[in-house]
Amino acid sequence: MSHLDEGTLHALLDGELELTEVKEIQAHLGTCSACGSRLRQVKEFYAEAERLVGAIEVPGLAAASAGPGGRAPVPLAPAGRAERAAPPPVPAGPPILLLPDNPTWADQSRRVVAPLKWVAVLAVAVGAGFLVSEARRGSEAARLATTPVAESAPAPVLSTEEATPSTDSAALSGGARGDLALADSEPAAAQREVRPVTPAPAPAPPVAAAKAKPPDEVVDSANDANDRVVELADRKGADAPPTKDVRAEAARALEELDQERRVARAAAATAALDSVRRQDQALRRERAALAPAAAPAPVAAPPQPTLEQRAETYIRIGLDEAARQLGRPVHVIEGMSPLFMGLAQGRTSPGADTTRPVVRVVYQDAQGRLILLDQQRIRPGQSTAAPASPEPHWTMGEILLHLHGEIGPDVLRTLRSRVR
Amino acid sequence: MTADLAQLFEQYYPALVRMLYRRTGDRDRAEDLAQETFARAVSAPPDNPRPWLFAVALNLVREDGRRTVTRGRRLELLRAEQDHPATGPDTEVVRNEDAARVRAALAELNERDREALLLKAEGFNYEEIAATLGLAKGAVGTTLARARRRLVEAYRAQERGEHVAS
Repeated sequence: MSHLDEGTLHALLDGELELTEVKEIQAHLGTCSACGSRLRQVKEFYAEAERLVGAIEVPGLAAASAGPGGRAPVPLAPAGRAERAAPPPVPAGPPILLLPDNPTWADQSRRVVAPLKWVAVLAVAVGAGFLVSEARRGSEAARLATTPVAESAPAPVLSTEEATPSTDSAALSGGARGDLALADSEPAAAQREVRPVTPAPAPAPPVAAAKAKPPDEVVDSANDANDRVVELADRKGADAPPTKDVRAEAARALEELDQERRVARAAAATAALDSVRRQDQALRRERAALAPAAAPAPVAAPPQPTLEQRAETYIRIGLDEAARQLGRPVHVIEGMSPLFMGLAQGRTSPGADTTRPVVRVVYQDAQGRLILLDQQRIRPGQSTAAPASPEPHWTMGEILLHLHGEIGPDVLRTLRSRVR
Repeated sequence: MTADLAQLFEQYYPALVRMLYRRTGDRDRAEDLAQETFARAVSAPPDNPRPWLFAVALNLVREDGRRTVTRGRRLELLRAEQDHPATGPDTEVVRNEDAARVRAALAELNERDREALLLKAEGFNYEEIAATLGLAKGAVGTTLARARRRLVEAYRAQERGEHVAS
């Protein structure tokens, strides 16, 4: 395979390559130090460019701007140089693989040592399981003799299990434990050439959340990631030594221990709950005695409608578009400054053709009440008869006009004479 | 139709304004162009709205750059809006020196690179970027690679007080 070009590396980081291509690239990167170094440089440019583009946010629109595929604002680094020395990581998202730097002798030695550590952990787990099962099956005297060992065993066993999920089920279980296994543990390091990034569970970090894909894509990429995790686990299983029965026994023993511990915790929690409940009831009785007529909880005020909602416009438009809709310049009320212009559905303007929108010029009086001047171009054959309404309704040339709003018909009639 | 448009508006308006703001550096202009984009969608409802809306918006930016005479007239009414204080076009950006530097760096990219970068920032995949900008899908990676590298180089040059031609 020839050297990788920048475009391919960016496509790789953008998650745009097929799995087969990714595998080829991964194999190449494992042997080509020049491309490995280029990838590191590309990653730096990629991360910084993403940060820079994300730094330009529309003032006042940032909170509402996280649309589909959108990206939350990324704060700019106060000191550019310092930040550049350690650029922020490429946000989680489309890229599916974290490719390795070229292996050093330290990495390689770690790969050799890692399986030995793993075997040692298994031995500890099996030993603990054996002791526990002996303790359960044995006589009273034997149990007394092994109890200190059994009690002291769970701590190291559980901690090693959490730190190094050696079984396939642990690697596949997802969640914090699975992530830890894929990200940090030594067995995972042994598989670094294909290290899938599983989608983060629960609260994602801001950058990851900002780069989040639409739900269907997230499901797809999660499925892909899971498939790769499965593939990884299968490979791991194929490479593993034939110690399944021993491991199964250890797992059973651990499960039993875990169960005992859960029962004890549940009993303690129940006992604590009872006392808390009793205290709570006593407190309630006390409060009821002190304040028999408690004030009702304040009801949250409903959100204020926006000007567009009050004016029933579904889109704002400018003068050009209004003129285009009407086939002539828009009519306005002389001496008043409009708040905005928009399009409203025809059915919201009595007398208008309900199949077409009306151009609505929105004004506001000193009391904050809206005044709406609706205009619609009259089509051949369209009825221009005024509806039974006290609001002014008239035609000017080819335009049907209707003045209405949150003020009385008398004021509206006065305003009609000022429409130009 | 109107309900669909309202839904489109709600779904894509913020993203369009954000992309146009990054492109023009003028919030009023970005909003105006976004509104004009949707107004065009009223008369010609698109089948595939997202690429359509962004392609129309980018065309409008290009046209608008050449057609400066009517801009003031078109914005006259919107500027009278009460809940929208009339601030200078770059007031918000000028407050943030770094953001201004980023914009200056962005302005030094060529049109296609800049647009590809902005569309990517809105979550477009390579296929959508290719469709919107009329590129071959295979060229998008190279375009983005060049755009990102030049943006970072231009930004660093801005920091040093230099000017880099794209």
